[in-house]
Amino acid sequence: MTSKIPLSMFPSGQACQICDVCAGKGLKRRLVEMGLTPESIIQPLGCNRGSLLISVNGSRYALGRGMANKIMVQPVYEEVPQFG
Amino acid sequence: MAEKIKVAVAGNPNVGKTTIFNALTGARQKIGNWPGVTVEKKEGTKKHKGHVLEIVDLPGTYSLSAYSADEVVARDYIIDEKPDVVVQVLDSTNLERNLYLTSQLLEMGTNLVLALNMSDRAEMRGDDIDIPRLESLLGVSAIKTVANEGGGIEALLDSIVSKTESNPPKPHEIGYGKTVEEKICALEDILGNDTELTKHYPARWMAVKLLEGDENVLSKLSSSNIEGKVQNYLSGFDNEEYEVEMADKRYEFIGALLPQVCTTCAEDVSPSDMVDKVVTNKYLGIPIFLSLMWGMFELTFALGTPFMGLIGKFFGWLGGAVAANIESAWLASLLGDGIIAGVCSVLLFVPNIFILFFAIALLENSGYMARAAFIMDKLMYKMGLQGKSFIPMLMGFGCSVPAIMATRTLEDEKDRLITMLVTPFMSCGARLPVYILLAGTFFGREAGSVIFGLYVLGILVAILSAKLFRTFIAKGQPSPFIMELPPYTRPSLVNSLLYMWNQGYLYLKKVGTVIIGGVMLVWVLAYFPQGVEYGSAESLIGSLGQLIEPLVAPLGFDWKIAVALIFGVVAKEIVVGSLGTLYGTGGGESLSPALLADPSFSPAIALGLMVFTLLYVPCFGAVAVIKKETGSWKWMFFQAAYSTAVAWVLALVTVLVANLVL
Amino acid sequence: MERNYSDLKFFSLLWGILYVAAGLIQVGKGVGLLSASFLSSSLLPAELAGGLVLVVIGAVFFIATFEFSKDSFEGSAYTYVGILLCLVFGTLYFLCMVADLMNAILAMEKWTFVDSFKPALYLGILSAVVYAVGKTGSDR
Repeated sequence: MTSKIPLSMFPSGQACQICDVCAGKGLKRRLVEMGLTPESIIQPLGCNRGSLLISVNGSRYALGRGMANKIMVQPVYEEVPQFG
Repeated sequence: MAEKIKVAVAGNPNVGKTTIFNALTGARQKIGNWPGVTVEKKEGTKKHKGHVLEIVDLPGTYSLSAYSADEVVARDYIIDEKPDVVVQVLDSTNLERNLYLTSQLLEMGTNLVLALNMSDRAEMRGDDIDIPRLESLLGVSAIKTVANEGGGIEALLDSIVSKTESNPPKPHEIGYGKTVEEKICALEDILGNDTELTKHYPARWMAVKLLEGDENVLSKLSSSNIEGKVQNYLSGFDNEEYEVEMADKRYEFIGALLPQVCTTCAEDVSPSDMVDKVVTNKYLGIPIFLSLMWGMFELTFALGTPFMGLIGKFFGWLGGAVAANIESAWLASLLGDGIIAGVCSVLLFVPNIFILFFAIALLENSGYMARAAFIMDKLMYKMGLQGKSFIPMLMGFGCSVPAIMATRTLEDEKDRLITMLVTPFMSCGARLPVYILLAGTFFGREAGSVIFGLYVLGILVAILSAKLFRTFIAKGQPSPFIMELPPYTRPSLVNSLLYMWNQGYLYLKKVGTVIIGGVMLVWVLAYFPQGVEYGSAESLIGSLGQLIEPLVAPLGFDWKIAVALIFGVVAKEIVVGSLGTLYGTGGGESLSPALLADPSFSPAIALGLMVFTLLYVPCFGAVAVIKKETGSWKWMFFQAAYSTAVAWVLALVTVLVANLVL
Repeated sequence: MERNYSDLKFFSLLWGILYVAAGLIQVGKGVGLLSASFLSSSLLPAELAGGLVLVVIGAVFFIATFEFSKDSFEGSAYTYVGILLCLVFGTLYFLCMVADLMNAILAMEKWTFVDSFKPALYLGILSAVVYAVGKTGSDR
């Protein structure tokens, strides 16, 4: 149920939580410095041809699909969506 | 009496740092480059209560971990120059992330003043920040500011001055947990052996940075005799795992601090998000972007025209006055045909260039620029680049040189190389005079659209070249794209005007130096050998032109155009400047009829010449910056040869097609 | 609130039609599909790129109408951005008009108001008026 999936595969329009980043240490730290800290909640705002627009901790970020593939997320616990 | 206080302004990108800096210093700014690197450095001074503040604007950074060149610059300035006060500008609506940089600044032992900017926005959504508590917990001064409206600037100045009178703080310590702390202590002990080093840099800070695997700090040790010991110690364990952990610890520190000083009310969807929904819409995003771009050029052209008329009239009068009052024929020719005609034909476009820079500043300050990067990401990805590369390319509309420097924000080397190689295809302000002259002369009311078409052509060539380079030269995938989107703001008129003036001033300076020199050389070559008709085929320049004419003859260009193109390599405005000098027209306004009367010019040729000017080898300045930034002659020559080849082929196609259609 | 949305929906539809129609006529004249004198040669002059911009603005309003008809609150975002674009391009054409006037004075030529009174300008002014009225209305 709570399996980690890449952000890019996450059903759109639902909030989710960052669990992990599959990237080298440089990029990993960069994301943390930019404010995408582990366990932050991601609010999706929109999507444009595979690129995502998200809100994390009050800031807005634009992500390419490649980046969205590297960020592993899980549904937010309070409102676990129903999977099949 | 007047005491000098060195102030550095630091902060995350998009927090209003530049606005604060502008508000602090007013218009007294100096723009230069940081020594050694080509990151723009802005300085200004301000007198306040008997003190002279020397304020430096540091590049906007998320941290001081030396991830990119910007961060190294900011950090080295703080470490080496030891500013008396560091002002960190924070976005009050996102304290958590902003305090990360604060924690690093505190660790460096800086005398810190926090400017809690956009505090109106935070208050509006109901946040409550306990300033006295924040000050006492961190040992800093904190001021609420609303930089857009000038709120809190006086208080900020007061606080900077009073901060210098208090005792310097002791570096703030963040606990990193037992295992890491042990290692920090051990490293501090080793570092303590080199007193010369620890006098310069705080030992604990160095120890922390070394544990984080900071290459830059490691290289600072290279001259010290303890380097071996440090290396030895560091190789005893795998420090990779500590790196992210230490960043997490800083956030833990912030996480513990935040609830004590502020209550935040998260908002679901802000008005800014609503706008984003529309401008990043799958179908509307690109059309809206193109509409705005077209509007920008339409404005540049239309609004500049009356000013061009005025400047043209002035130089026409000046040329006439010179011709009437100077006895010596050669001097009159040098001044009239050479300098006045040449400089005028370039100065004529100063209004357009100022308007263009103003429009770019509006786009940038409103926050739309970042959205453009987002909209273009998918397309850019397909073409082998990422969205972020689009911002330097957009800046290339102003001038290629700062645009190529701006590629420094790209972390991946291959991304950066490709972006640098294609940015010169983005039509810069210097090429605008050529279009305005030729399109204005040959296409009348359609000129705006023709010019817009040229810009689009530049973008297409840049993007297709990127694809080509990605496929054959820098193989691989573009690095993943992530960028913060600042909230939309009403662009500040003052900031946009300042930006316009600062950039436009550089253009004026170029006219005063390189371009005057260029047109004088053209005049000399056109005037000599003695006795020939000025600017005729028998003059030196005529022989030179005829020598290279065969190269461009297939495009239908005659020797005058060939000469103009050769000199245009120095700076592309000179294409117009030397045409002005060659046709020997006193005022730029009268260059149009001279061109229309010349049978070797036609609308098709003009179009071909514009395409060629757009694409062929970028000016000396841009070429030099490519050499400097890539660090290799190879890429410089490659860029020059590639762009000229592309220009030749596309200009030929343009002329052939235009001859059929027009 | 309900009432407000239906007002906005109607407004968006109307504005969408106005802008797209004006834009298409300008484009049509620009590429030569329509004769220059169709409807009015001075109020709707041939202009290819400018006409396309009007079509884009109109499209924003059409999407707004579409969103409203789905009862989505996002429609108002499209209307808002649409009006913003109307104002931006209205201002732009106003500045162009000022420039035309200055040109005419410099060249000592006759300047006719109608020649500079482009669709984007008068539609922009209309939008500004409606926006101002709508704003005071909703404030009250």
